[in-house]
Amino acid sequence: METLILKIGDSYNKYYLDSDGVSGLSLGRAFSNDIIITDPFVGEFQLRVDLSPGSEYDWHIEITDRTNPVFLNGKNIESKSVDLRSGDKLTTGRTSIVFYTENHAVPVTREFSIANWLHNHKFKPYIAILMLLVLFGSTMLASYLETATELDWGSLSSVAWGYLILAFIWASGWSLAGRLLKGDYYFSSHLFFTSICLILLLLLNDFGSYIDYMFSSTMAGEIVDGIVIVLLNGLLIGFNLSLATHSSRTFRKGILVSVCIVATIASMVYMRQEEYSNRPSHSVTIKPSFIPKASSVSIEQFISDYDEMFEKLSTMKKQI
Amino acid sequence: MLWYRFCLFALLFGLFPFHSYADDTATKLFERNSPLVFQIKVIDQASGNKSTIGSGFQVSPSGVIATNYHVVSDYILEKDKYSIEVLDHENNSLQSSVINFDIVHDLALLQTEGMDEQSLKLNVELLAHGNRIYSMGNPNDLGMTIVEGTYNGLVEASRYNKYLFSGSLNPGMSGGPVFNSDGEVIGVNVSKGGEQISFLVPARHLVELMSHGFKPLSADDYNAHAIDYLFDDQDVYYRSLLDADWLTKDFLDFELPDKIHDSLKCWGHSEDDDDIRYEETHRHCKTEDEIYLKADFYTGSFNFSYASIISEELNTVQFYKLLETKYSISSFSNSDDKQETTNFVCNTKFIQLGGKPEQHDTPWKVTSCIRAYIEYEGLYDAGLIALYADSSDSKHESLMIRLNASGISKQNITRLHNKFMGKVKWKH
Repeated sequence: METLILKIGDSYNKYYLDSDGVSGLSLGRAFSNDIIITDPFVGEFQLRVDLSPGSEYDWHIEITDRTNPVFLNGKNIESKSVDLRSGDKLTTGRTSIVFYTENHAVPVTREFSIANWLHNHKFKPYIAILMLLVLFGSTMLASYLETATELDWGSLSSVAWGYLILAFIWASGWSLAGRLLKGDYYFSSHLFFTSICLILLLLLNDFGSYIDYMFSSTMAGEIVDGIVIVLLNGLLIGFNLSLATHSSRTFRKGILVSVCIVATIASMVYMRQEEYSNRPSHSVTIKPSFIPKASSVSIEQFISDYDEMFEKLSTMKKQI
Repeated sequence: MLWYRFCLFALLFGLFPFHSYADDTATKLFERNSPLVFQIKVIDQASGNKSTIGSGFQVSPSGVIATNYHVVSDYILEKDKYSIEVLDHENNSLQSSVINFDIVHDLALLQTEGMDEQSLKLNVELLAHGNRIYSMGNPNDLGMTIVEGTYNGLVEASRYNKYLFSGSLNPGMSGGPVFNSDGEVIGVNVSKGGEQISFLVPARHLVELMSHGFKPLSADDYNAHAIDYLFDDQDVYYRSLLDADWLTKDFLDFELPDKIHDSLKCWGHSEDDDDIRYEETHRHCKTEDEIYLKADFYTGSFNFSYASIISEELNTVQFYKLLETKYSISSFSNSDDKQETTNFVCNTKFIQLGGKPEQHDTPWKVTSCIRAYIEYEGLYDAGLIALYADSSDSKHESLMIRLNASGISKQNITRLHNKFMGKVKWKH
């Protein structure tokens, strides 16, 4: 008896094959098969798996239905049968099946950096609430630093409450997702990490404008802002994904999702931008003066840049 | 008692002739000059209806009518789409075409067929303040009217010479003549500034335009002709501005250019309301008249302003955040049409202005933005903003300088910005 492990979708199942190479396993939609697949695009009797004794391959597959093509590791199988090794993937219809032997090596166990935190139930709720308070305070501070009029604590705190509610809704959403996807949820942990990411967002909010100020370039500022948002968003989604799903490399996935979101928003803003305005758009960031001291120019140097501006204008006129 | 009766009679009889004399002048002027004053209509050929109305008057026996440029500008800009119709005092319709125009002083000459060989006499002499003058025109297309008012000399602090007429002009009277009591034309109705405040183009600009003769310009040359006028006008203005010695005035810790030209009017105000935690002081100088190019496109303005913000209450972050909200080149409201100008091209740098004393080596953040006119080649709108901010002492101080000029050439932008920034000095 040889063991065959099939990964169909997300689930792994173990099957046994007789070593005589004759009585293999059949796979298809019909209930008389050994392995039943529910995908309507899979044949009634789709394929048959046998051991392949004496050959360098582990299994011999016979394809018994040709309604839809069958792919081996992404390549269409033209012949009636094919030989497989452990780790090969067959795809047909909407179903992928990966074949493993019992001694197929699994990846090295990954260290779960937040495991300690995740299962430390004793202090977690208190720390999450503490972090939420820090978020509230940070938001209040950020609003306070942007106010040049008489301080109105009511309107200042309304922004902070907004952030708090946002963090709560976000954490609840991920908890629900965890409950549905994994049957388990970590509300306090979601809340904790969401608060941390929002605090970081507040701290780094002005980073792009410093770059803008340093280089007198709105584009440099916008690019840096974009990168900061992608990273923080990636971190936020990554953390939440790792808690709510069994998915691996969550930070990478988070970054990918974040890039997609930022790119979509940026392209929407770009497309909705007015192509003409009688109000000039230019760098407006002003920061304490220690930054640009080294990079200042003389009036003559500044005026000498005008030639380039006039050239740009004449190019713009030609395009019209 | 007899003496009293005599005085009463004298007063009554003395007053009546005075009234009848005043009424007589307007009546006589109206009767005498009506045949030489016309309604002008620019007709949209597609719909057959009028798109603009105005007035005009005959200035040459050969059938030349003077009016405002802005009355017939639709025709000048799009000759194929519009035609000009002149209506005489008997409502006879006469066909007309443009001979010449002065876009800067808002004047145009039209050649009209079938006119009597007469003309109104022009008088370029300045009158005495308070003289009665009489404006004729077709207000709101209600028919020819005469309006009596007072002559109040040339408008002070004005870039384009205009007479101040204390009388009421209304839309449709544009291009109509203004007579002295002898029936000579001393000016042309052009615009209104408020209740009983109206402006006239002095007759001397009309005489100057007529001195070029009555040979019609080719329609192909209209644009080049307008550009010549605009280019020369801005060149003369900015040369006189830039060649002059500029007065400076103390503002904060600086000596800054003040009323640097007679055409500017300067104003100031400050804000220190209880609900704001800073003091803002403003000073600005600006020209108050512009050149009409099209219904939605004006040019020829020049202005600059200084704004200082000082605060002891705000912390450093709050102060700089406040400056960020204020740091922007004011929008150019002379045109908001992409058919007329390009978008702005901007450049921002840090500059050492006004020398570099040891205790004040903070550079200024300076942004310059320029946009080009599409149809009027060689002319631009240019805006400059410069900001100095210092938090070295116990209080925060800042100074923002803004400089806007519309309808200015490349050479003059460069000279203007160079000289203006060069004039910003630390107070010694």
